[in-house]
Amino acid sequence: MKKILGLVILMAGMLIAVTASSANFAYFHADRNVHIQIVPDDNELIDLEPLQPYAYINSNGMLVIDLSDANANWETGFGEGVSPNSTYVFEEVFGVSNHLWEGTPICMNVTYSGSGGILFFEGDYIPGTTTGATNLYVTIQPGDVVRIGMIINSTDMNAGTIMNGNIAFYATAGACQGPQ
Amino acid sequence: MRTVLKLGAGVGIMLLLLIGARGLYPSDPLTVVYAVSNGGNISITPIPPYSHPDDNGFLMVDISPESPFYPGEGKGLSVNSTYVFEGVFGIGNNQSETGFSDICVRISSADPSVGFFVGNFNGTWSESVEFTVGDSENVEVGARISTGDLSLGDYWEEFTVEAWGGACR
Repeated sequence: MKKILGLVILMAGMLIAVTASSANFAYFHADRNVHIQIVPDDNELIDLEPLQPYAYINSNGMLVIDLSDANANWETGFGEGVSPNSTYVFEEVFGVSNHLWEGTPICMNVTYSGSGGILFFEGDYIPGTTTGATNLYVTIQPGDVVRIGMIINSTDMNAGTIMNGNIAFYATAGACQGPQ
Repeated sequence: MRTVLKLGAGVGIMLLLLIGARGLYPSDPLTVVYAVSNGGNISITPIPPYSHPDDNGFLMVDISPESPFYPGEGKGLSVNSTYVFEGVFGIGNNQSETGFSDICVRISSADPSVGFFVGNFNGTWSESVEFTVGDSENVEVGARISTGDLSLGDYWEEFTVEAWGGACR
């Protein structure tokens, strides 16, 4: 019995060897790695960088625009916010840059959702000409930084009201197409 | 009892033998399954800049300053964001090496923050995608990376490439 068993094993070994050397593959399996560094907003592929004290990067690495005494840059004696029924225009609140490695222009869409009236504009504010948009589209060339300003409208809001919301950034590859 | 055990072993080996014998005359699907540690049979091609071959020559998706393609700015992804990269790597089928005019490839991610899609992004992705690669064809796979709940830091995730003969079903 032992001898027969030995023979069977030998035959099996030989046959498998023949199979393995044939050209056809049967199954392939490979594990590969993804390495991602999660960095603050002002270091990422598409940077969001604060350009003035109203904007800063919080401890979690996210850009925050804060016009209140909760702002880390706020000091006693500074204004504590905007007043009711007024319109404030802030140029260059934050910058959006394009540091994608493949060097492609992007079309960036900036929108705000939340309380109060917030409009965005690009570059300098020209009274009577710059209107601001709730839905701003701007093309960013590789390596460029686009300066985004904000128009904050507190009409119909009472003193003590907190305006709170989120700014969403949505970018697609390629320059913005046509009138937006 | 010892005899019974031996008989059991003998039957097991006989089964193995039969499987081996079938392998001599390849039928579809092949019954012999063996893993190949390195991609000698199907080709996995990194497509710069977001993937590159690592020190062992294996594909690595790398979005960090350690990538050889890091241009000096844009160190990574930020928290609470979603990035979609088309064509991060390619999977090819050379029939003379695989022996199949069609192979079925499955790419699966071990982490929900990384998803995959084939070709151009049309809004859909999955943690596991399956697609057929014809002879001499090279299919580009894209990645969707969502950093939703992650905090700042350095992350290593793993994904698996599997392939077998014949078109996907």
